[in-house]
Amino acid sequence: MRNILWIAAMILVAASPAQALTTSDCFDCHSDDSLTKTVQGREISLYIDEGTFGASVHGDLDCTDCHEDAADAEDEHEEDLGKVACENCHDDMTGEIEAAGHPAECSDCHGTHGILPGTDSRSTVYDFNIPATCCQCHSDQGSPDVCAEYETGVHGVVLIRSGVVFSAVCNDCHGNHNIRGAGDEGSRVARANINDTCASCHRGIVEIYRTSVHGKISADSPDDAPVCISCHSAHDTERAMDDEFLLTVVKRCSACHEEMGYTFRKNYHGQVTGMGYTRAAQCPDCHGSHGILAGSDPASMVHPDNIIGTCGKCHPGANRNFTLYMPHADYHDAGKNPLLYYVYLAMVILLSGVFAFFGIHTLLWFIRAYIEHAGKGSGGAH
Amino acid sequence: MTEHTQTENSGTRERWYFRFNYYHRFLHALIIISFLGLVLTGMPLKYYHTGWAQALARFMGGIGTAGYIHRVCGAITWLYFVLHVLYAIYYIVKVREEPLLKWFFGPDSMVPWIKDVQDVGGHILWFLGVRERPKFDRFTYWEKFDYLAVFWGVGIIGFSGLMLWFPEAFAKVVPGWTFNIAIILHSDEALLAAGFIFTIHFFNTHLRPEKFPLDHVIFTGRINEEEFIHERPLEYQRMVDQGRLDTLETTPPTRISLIWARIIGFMAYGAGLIMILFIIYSAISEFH
Repeated sequence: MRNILWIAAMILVAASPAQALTTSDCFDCHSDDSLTKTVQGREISLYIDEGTFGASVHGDLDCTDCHEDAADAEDEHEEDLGKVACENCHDDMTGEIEAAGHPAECSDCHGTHGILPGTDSRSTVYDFNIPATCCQCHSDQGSPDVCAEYETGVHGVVLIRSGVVFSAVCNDCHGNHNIRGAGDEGSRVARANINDTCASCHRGIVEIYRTSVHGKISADSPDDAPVCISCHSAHDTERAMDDEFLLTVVKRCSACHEEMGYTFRKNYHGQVTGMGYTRAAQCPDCHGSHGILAGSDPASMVHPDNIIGTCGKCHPGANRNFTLYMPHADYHDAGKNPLLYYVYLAMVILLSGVFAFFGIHTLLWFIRAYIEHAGKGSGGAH
Repeated sequence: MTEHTQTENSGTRERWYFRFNYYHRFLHALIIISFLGLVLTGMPLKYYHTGWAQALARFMGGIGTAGYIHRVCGAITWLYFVLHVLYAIYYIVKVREEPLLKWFFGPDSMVPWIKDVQDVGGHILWFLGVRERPKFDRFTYWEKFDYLAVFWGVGIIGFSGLMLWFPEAFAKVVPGWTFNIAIILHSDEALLAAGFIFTIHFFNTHLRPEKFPLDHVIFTGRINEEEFIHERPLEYQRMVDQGRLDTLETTPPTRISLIWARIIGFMAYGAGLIMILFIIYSAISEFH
């Protein structure tokens, strides 16, 4: 009986076309940290840390579960193994990546033998590490450099400098595997979808925005009204209360409201803002920011029923009279502001007249005085 | 004192007379300080889009601080304006010896009169080499223009400035669109004032060949006899005729006062000329 078992075992072994490599077989070679091979002239290490692999999400798998073409090898596998087929287990994710056309390998983002769950702070796809992972490919790419912009933008600053891990990182806006270009309609960052994407964190603000003139128009035709990133930028998003934002908000609004920007800069608020003073009113101070409504809307900040309160935010004691100030007046425009135009014209005439008369007067005087003075010499009487 | 009143080279005795008293000079010092302060802190706002305006505002401690300096200088302007008006009233009531009307249209008054119109014509004819130089009295027509321009300028700029400083208070009385007018008046009248003072006034008083590089009379208050006779022959003659010349005679300006006059004078018109260059540069670049 004992012999029979032995023979059966021998037969089984002989019948198998090859002896499958076990994980421990693999580590016999691959735990040697001097093991290398040369690929395209570059020496790469073939060392795999057993502990790291064992602690990874795939630690319970055998090497040959992923490196299938090594499974058939007897003692040694072929030198060049094929690509690992992640899709065998993760076909939902690899399918998404393929459909989106993002040209990265799984390993580019997730690593190889030490893959950890995204919730592990050491993982390459842990929130805090995502920007570094994405920026392996996306930094120094063209202009603008999105990685550099992200670092100075509010999301990057909050994440990197303040260490707040729930700040938005790349995948929060661009998706995990369904990563598509902004021009792609199915992209989370496509113009038509960007408000929804921002709303995944900034829900309350986006709700208010949707009630505004901008929100109502952009709901139907996103190209005709600003969406979140039109004012806040995509990567170098500034904190709205920072000087840097306040001093450029006029420029942002003027991108569409050119004339309002032009006339604003001609008046006191615009001038001091232009000098870097942030306490004077900028567009949002009077018109609101996310909930901007048409002036004819009774709820608008600039509606006659509300304007006293709006001015009064900065000018306590402002009355109806006060609100008759024209913050967007253009004194060059005789049609819209005849009174201002004629006051301006009168000043131009006054200045031209005085300078013309005294300019000529001074010039003639200088010539005459020079002649007389030079003629009499330095020692002579006047 | 005789040694001091002699010029070192000629040995001839040089007499000096008071043209401006301490009060005149004090008020002019207030004007210099406040006016320069106002221009340096105000003009950047008018030309806020230029690099020099930004740099100047930064130098002033930011536009917020510049705004404070501007208001302080505005307050000094109102101060000298009020002090001057009080002085004028005091002078007319207490000091004046002639009948009011005679004084009002006379040579000691700043009111332009027929002789000033004649002097304008006469002076221009002299420029052209047609006639002799007109004989001037205590105040020439261009000095009266300087004076009245400041008077008018303080009125316009000062009042519009107050409106812009305290808009809520003024809006209790006037409609808000008057602030739009106030901005235009304040800004353009300021340009007129700065442009005029830093070119025409500087030339008329300091830069013309007889005075170059600096007429120290407003700083020392003193004018020498030769210049007195040359510049203001009618006044000199009047003083002689009335026997009042002696009452004006004084000591020559001290060396230290002349040094001070030069330091302050050159600083003021150095700052003024730089501002003018900036303004002209901005005005020219706006056309492009």
